[in-house]
Amino acid sequence: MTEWLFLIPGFPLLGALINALFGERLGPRWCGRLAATMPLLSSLVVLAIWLGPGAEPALLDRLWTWMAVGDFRVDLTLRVDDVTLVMISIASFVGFLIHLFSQQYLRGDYGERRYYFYLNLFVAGMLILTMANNLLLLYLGWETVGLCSYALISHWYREPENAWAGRKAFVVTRIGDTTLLLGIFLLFAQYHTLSISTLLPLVTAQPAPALLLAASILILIGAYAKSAQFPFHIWLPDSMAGPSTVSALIHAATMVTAGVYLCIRLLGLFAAVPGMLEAIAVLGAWTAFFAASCGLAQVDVKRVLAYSTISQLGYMFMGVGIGAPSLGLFHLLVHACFKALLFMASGAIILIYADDHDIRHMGGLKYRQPFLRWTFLAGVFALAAVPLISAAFYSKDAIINASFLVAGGGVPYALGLSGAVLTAGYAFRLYFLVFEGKPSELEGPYQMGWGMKIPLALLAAASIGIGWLQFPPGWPGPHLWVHWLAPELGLPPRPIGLEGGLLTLVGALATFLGIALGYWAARRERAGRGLSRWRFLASGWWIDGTILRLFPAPFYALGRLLRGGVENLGVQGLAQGGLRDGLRLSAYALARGENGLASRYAVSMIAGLLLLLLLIWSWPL
Amino acid sequence: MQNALFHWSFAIPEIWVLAMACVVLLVDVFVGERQRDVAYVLSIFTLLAAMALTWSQMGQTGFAFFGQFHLDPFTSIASFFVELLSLLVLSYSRKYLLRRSLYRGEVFVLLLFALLGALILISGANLLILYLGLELLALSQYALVAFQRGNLRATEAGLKYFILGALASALLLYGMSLLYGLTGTLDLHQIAIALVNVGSANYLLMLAVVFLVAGIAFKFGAAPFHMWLPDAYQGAPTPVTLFMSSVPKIAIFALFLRILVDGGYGSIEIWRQLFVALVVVSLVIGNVVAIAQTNLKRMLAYSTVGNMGFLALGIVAGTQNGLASAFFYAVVYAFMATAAFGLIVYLSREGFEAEEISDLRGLVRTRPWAAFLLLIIMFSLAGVPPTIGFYAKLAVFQALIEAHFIWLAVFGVLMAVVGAFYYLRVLKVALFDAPAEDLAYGADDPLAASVLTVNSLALLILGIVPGALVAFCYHALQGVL
Amino acid sequence: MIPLSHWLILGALLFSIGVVGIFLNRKNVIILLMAIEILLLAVNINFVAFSRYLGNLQGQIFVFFVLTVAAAEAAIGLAILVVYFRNRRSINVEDIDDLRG
Repeated sequence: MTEWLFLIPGFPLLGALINALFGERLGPRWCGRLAATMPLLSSLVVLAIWLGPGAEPALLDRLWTWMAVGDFRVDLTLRVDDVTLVMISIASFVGFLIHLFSQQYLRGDYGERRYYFYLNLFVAGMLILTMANNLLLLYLGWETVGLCSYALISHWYREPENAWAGRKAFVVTRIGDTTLLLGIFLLFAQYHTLSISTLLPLVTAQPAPALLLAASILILIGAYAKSAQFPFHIWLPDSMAGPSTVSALIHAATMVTAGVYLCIRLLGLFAAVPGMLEAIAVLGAWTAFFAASCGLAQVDVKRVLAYSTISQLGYMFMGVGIGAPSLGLFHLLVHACFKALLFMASGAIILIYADDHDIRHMGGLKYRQPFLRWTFLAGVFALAAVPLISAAFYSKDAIINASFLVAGGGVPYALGLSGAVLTAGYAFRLYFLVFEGKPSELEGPYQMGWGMKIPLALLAAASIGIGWLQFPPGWPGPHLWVHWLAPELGLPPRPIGLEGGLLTLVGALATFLGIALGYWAARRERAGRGLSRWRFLASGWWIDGTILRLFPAPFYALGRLLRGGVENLGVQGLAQGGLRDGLRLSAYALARGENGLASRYAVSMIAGLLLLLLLIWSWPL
Repeated sequence: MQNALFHWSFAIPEIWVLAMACVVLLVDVFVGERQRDVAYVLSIFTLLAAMALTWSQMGQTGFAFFGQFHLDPFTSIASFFVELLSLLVLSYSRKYLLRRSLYRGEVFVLLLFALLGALILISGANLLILYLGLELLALSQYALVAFQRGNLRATEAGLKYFILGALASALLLYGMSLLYGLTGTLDLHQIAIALVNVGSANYLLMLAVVFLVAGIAFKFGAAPFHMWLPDAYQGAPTPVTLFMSSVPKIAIFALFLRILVDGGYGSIEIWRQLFVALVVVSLVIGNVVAIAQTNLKRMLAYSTVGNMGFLALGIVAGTQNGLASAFFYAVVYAFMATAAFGLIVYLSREGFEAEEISDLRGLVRTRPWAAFLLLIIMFSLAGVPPTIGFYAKLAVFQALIEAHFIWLAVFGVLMAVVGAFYYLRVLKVALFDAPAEDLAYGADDPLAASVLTVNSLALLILGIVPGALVAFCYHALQGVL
Repeated sequence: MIPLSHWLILGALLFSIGVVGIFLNRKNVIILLMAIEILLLAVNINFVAFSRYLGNLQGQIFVFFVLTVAAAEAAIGLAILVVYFRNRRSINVEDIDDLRG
């Protein structure tokens, strides 16, 4: 009865295919419309699941056996449980809104058709990734997403730095892809299955500590690289080279959430390794704090948001690590809404300021663009977790508070809470600099059409209201989320009573402290003495430079050394002449043997016969 | 005693093809120049009915004609494939033949006789029958290659193919005579029994096997017995090349299977050794020389040599799995080759063969769909997932590794990488080069277009859902050892 | 009674002559066709010798078929040769090299 699950990734895939084959005939306008329709259709199918069967028990759609060689067998099975349902709802619906926004945003660009092709493929890849019940299929989606992110980040490839940013993203995530694949190999070698639903019970039933440790570290590196966690976050700030809609897609609906999703999906694996979850929690909280501090010193509107993504993803990992995966998932949903909103709005802001990204040149936008201002403010509220009227208050603060309850949660709690202050700080610093103050003379006229306004309005409403699905314990109002996910992810620790009230209060105070910090930082920035002058923070604690100096630089140096010292001594002849030219030369030489004379051919045949005879004669009986 | 029975009903598909070939010949004499379609439609009908007849025999086993004729799952399945491939050949080539005034009954008759030869090869259980089937197939092909009488290249190709083919037949025959002298019988079943006593350490047997393997390798087009193949492929009219690259590959695999497995499995230690040498040489020659080619047909010919090397990897493994994977490879290769040459046929027009690689420049701009199909075909030939070509290679390598020929598998993978180079070069020309103004493709035959689409998409779809085809091919080899 | 080995050596020699005839011949395609006939005859001698030695008729029956097929083969070969000659106005072996590389 669930044979139609394949439609969900199928529609965007079809859109990409049509775009690739007939895009030229359709023209860019229709390419865009077609591309936007496809995720809409997917989200309608997803809606049908919400309204119809639901995902308890999990829906399965076994398409076919992809390959079966020996004991290696891969069934293509799509699986939708509650967690997946959340993910595919985000990917398809937020994906659709981004497609819709792109219609006006990207009109007249030089690569519209290419853009929509990759956008569709991106969504399809993400849907395959999340719906896969098989690590190999998951990996297929994982790679598709990686490829598309590379292509989209360097969408404006005519400027070299954009292409460079794309390459950087590709290489860094590639490292993670490789370790993920190695981790999958290890698991397969031990358990002879790639199916997630068979694998996880096996992991608990027959633990193999050393192997599981290695496998989970490898897989975790894959997740960290994809989700831009410390120290693999270095690709994300540079990925701002792509169009803002691409950033919205990468940061909200797809790609970076894949790592968090993978961790939730393979929670059983990580739980089987002692100390693993605690490490994830500490690392997540550290990333949340670290990236938030960097966000405070950025001057590029999109780089602020990029560091904010890294930081917010840190909170999600922290949620997974402290045993509150359902809260992590909740924050993922909330984050998807407000981050897509903020990125698309910042895309509009950049258009208004004629491609200037520097927030120090902006100001007073609220007078001419009230709609943009209010929607952006909704996003900023959500990012800063303003109490009661923003969604993140119910998701992010819940994670921080939960960490207070678990054993060894002191470090994550402290880091998370100080991160929350900084988060509110950079969020409001951004808002004050762009929208408040005197209007900047750089501001140009720009009219947003309905295609841009509707997505912003919807996402703004969600950024405010979606948190009301899950009030803190003891509060009046719905408590749907964690109970709904409890059968799959268990109940997270949640503070109640006086303790709960105090923790919530502390969280709210942190936010207000942060807002004050943001106001202060914005004023200093206006006065030209801002945090952005502090190189340590602005460069992201020098980590990017350090990593580049530590890893690729020695490679380059080695390369120069080899080229200068070794290659000239004869490797060139061997590597180039020997392989490429040698292949070519031998090809021509061998081809010349075919001189067209039948008798020569006969000689070759007889020579072959003699060769075989010789072979068999020399062979020991 | 099953053997002693006449059981002519087992041979109904062969009898049907034979009878209809004669009917087509007669009908063609009586209908005028304008009604050539009669012969064409009749041939198509013959093939369809033959497929139905073969299908209806699926699952039966036994011997007929006093043990000279074998019906088993392999017979039915392989026969079905060669009939299907012949049907594809006919459907691709109608316009091509019309345009070059080759649209004559004789072509269809020769094609049907060649098919008959292939069917007999597949079913034969006796050296004599196998020889007759082989010669019927070969003689028809010589005539088909040289059929375009006014064309110097075609006749030259025919002449060379004939001379070398005759030499190869003689080699094979010499091997057969030695095998006969050694075992005192022509019946493969009894040869197998006799060989148990002979053992593999027998010089006469070695000599016989060397000659047999040389003959089979020639017919396969494995190096160093491949020299005829590029010339014949290039010179022959493309529909004939299309036929030569598909149907005989399966038929010759059957010849190998009958002689060296059904009859000569006792000598596996000998022929396996020989095939290792053939594999290495074929993989190198096929994949390397193809790089130097500018003519697409010639390049595909060298690709055939390389692919026969991959096929022979399964033979080297020599296990049940290995032989099944080799058969699977042969079937997959045959369908890839029909698609590749079918595309050339489809694109050609009068006075333009579309056979140079440069003829495909910028195909994606002028014929995007054809370019997409070309993409699938080349990916499949190069063995890129998710096409069926990938599974064919995967199966062969898997069988090889199971049989502990690790180094050979590694070598094969390396050569597959080299091979990818020239397939992708074709794609580079078709997808990225600027189209030439003076190129006008034929590409106006709706029948060929639809068959080409189905054929090429099948390569992709079967790569995504390979289960059924794999099971079908592996079932054919069930119990062959 | 001539022993089997003599016949086999004769067959092998004939076969070798045929092979050498194919690739040493630089003149005339007709000679190639004759060399092919010699190859088939060599095989026939093998078959007949074995058949006589084994007291088994199958080999001799095979010979009949080989002779028949050889006739058909020669017919087709000559036919191809004729059309080739019409195109090229030569049947010199060394001229048959339009297809190469």
